[in-house]
Amino acid sequence: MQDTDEALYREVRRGSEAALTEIVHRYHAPLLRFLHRLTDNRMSAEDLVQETFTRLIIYRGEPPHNFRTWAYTVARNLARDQFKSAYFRLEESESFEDWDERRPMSAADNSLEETVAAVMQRHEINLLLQQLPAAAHEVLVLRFYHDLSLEQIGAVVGLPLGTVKSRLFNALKTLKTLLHAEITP
Amino acid sequence: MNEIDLERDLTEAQRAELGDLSAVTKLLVSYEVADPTPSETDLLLAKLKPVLAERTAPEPIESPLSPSRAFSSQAWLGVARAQIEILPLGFWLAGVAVGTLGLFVGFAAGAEWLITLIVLLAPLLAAGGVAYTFRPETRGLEELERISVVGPLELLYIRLGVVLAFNGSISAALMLALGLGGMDVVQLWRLVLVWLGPMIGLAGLALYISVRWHTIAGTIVPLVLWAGAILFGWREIVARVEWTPATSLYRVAAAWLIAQINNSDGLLLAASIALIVGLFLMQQAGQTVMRNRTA
Repeated sequence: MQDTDEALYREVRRGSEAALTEIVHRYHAPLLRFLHRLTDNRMSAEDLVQETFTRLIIYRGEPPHNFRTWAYTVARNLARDQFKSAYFRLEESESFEDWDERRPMSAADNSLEETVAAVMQRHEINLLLQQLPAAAHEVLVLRFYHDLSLEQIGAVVGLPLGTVKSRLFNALKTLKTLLHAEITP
Repeated sequence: MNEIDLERDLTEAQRAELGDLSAVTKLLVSYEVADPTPSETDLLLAKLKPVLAERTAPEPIESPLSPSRAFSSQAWLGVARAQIEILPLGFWLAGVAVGTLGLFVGFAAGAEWLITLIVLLAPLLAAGGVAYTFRPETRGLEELERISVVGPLELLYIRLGVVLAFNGSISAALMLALGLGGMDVVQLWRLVLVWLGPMIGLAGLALYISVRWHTIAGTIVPLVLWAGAILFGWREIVARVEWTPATSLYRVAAAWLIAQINNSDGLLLAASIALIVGLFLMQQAGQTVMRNRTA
């Protein structure tokens, strides 16, 4: 039977490289996707993922009862801290070019036109999502892409359930309005 | 990617208001980001393994507040200094503004006004300061506190101590001004208790509610309670004092308050109870923080 995240994390704290490998394999992709969507910057997201795992490893306090929620909490707060820094704002303006660089086209990729169209479409969607207030954006990302329950999202963002619900509703409402404005100029 | 039915989180009324969400869902589904490649995961692991090796090295990180150093005033002051740097300038300016206003009122209008101001405003300032300091944005740092060598409970109390010490020093400065200005119309120890009791009581209430539920409730409940107490007191004054249109009712009220501070044991008892309740709520807030950190 597969070990739980919490059991694996306890092993990590005892210095097990095997447990660390397993936990990184489980969480590298979800945390990277989460941070990429939050920051809209692939390189920043990679740095933040590394920092998140580093924090989880060096933590010496009481082990969390829910590792998944805790990992997202650490990642989210690191992203928030970075977003507040002027450096990130400067870097963020280059995110689109940066993403393009990170996805070099290979022979296996689609045609140039299709790739460019896909990148452009992604950029458009990004622009739309980035117009959401940060607080609503993160709730939507956690709910839709990471399937966290509303209670778990509340634990991650440090807010009561009712506030999480209203933020999700406001995010959907704003997104629908933005989408409608986009379609009907 | 798992596709989530977003509508299931909404109430009937919200669903009706939003209408068809298929376009939004389609948009969200189309927003894909690349997964890491296996070589990227391997690279990450290669960077993390030395961190793990370092973490499990034999020499433990000594907390500045570990038992052997628990009573080192330098350690406590070091952490307190860090908390002071975290609090924004506006917080300090608000306190200084209230202090300056108090001094101005005291010297311009008389001792009874300054005493009234201390007694009425100090608890509000403390409760507002505590609710502001423990607002959700700052609580978002809790995972950083987890990896910090200073425990969350120590941080809570040090942060609380910084806020109360600042607000307390403002009131103390105003009382010092009373003494230095020769405005000895009130017994100082009684004034201290009447001021300190509600201040600790309301600050404890603000802290507990902010930590347990939300900072908005942590601000509103103490303010409403205090406003209620002031209104109740005002009604008592109007009913009991002999007042003629020729005299200022506010001046009579201030004089009545000073007389109560000097003579009423009931008022001292109430202030003492508020002090004890406030300390109890602060202790409960600490327990709540510890429970939340391990939840």
